[in-house]
Amino acid sequence: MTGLSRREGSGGPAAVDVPAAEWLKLRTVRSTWYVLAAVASFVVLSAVFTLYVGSLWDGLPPEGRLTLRTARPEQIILMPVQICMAVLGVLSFTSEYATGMARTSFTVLPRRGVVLAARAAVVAAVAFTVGQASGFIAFFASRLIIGARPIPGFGTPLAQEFPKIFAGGLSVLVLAMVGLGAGAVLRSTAGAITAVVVYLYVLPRFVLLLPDPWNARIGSVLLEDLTVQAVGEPPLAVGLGDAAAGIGLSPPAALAVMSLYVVVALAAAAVALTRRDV
Amino acid sequence: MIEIMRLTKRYGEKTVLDELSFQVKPGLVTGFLGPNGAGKSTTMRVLLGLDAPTSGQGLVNGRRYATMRRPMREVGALLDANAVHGGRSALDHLRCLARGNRIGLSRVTDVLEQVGLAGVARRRVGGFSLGMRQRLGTAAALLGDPGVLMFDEPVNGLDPEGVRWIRRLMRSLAAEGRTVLLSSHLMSEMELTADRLVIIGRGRLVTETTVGELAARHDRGVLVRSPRAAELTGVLEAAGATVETEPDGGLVVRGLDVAAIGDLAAGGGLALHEVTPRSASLEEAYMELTADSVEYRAGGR
Repeated sequence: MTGLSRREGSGGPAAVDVPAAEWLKLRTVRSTWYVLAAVASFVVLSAVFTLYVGSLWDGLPPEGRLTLRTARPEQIILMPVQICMAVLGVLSFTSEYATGMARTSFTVLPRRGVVLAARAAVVAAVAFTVGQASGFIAFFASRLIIGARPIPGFGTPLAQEFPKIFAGGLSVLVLAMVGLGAGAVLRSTAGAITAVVVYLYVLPRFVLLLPDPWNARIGSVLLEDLTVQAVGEPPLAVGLGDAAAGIGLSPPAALAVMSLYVVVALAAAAVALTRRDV
Repeated sequence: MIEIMRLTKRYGEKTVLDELSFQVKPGLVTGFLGPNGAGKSTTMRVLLGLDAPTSGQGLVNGRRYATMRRPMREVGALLDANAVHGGRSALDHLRCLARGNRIGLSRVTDVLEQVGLAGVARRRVGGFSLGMRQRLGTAAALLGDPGVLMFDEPVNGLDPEGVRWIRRLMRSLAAEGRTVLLSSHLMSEMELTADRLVIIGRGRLVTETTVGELAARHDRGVLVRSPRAAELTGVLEAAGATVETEPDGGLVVRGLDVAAIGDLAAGGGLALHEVTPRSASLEEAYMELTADSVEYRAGGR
């Protein structure tokens, strides 16, 4: 048996070994880069959209300019980026179950709670970075493109927009963790992505159709509404005038519920991983 | 050292392991034999902490595997060569495994060299043949330079050269004092590789033995025909053999081998018309032992 000590030296303290391995795993599969490429292309598309808004504005007569209402790029890309990072979270587990790699992974690192924590930390770090970077890049690019044109919504100072963009980025992180949890529990890529998309797209639309005040009450604990409530705005049902004012969560409460999503997703993953055979 | 202690595993109603106990000692290749469905893979999965036992436990070097921080340095295992992400290169796959156990890149390139995959290290595993994947899995098992090694059907998919390579590797690992557990459902494979045999069927231990012992136990004597059978019987019995006369006049001699029988007959000037050893092959001995515990059998018997 040849010298083990020769190989001890790589890396820092022991606590970094498993996260480092998970980081290596994440960046050595193509799906990760496809997902990041998708995010990048959405950012580019948002800039193209802004170019279109600018040229539209330039071609409008003064009275038309008064009524121009347009969504903002950093808002437009939020949902695609959420989906992309949710898929990244889902795949971090389901790609291993689909290929059988999970058996190898849990053989070389049998302490499943440690693997879960490391994998979640790595995916969370990527999702947080991507969520914030995509939002702010879309924001700054749009401001550069629009320039001095006084288009409504494109002239607000960064200080005013910062909380919204930051909260949007946080929601990306939350969704990545929900995806990771769903992937660990369901073990199926299609099943877990369906679950996340139903939660993100279908449920909020359905809830809006509920009678007042349930539309606002239930909506207020869904991720989309939590993101707006985190910056002090009312839930969508209230904002749209479909529900009575005064329903909803304070910003700290909204942030707490967002954290609760992460806690529940990771706890479900921990239970599934430790109770079931691989 | 591997210790399996009264291990029981049930999947729903089905009992796959039933109070199974045995030990695997260092310095030897231990063949782990049993028909398909006997519980060999399940035993290994439980040992590696992938499956939780219903009762009982398996220990490696006196410890539960599932609690090990860097198990690759103590135990190397190859259960399923296909349990890899096809999108990674061989090098990246091993680097991912090595990193979590704090094993450096130089060791990764060493084992790739050792298993003969250095030339394809940067190719995606998805394009590997089963034989190449077996080599990759073997490389993963060797990464941490462990004292205990477990292989589940390692020659599956290997070409003849690969089979010889695996045999030599197993022998040399054991010769270095390591504990080697090697499963197979084929006796012929074990005959050439294993020192000790652990044979299980239907989740229970059938026997713990050695290759030589198993062959001896199923010795059915030597069939001898001679025109002077009565005289020959006397000579052989005088030499310590037991002799039975068959209805057709043939003698079944136990306790002497073919050469000794021939020498004795020549010494007595007795002609021999037939000398046929009737010891069962190991394969037959094994079939006999596991006949009661074969899970899936083709019809017609």
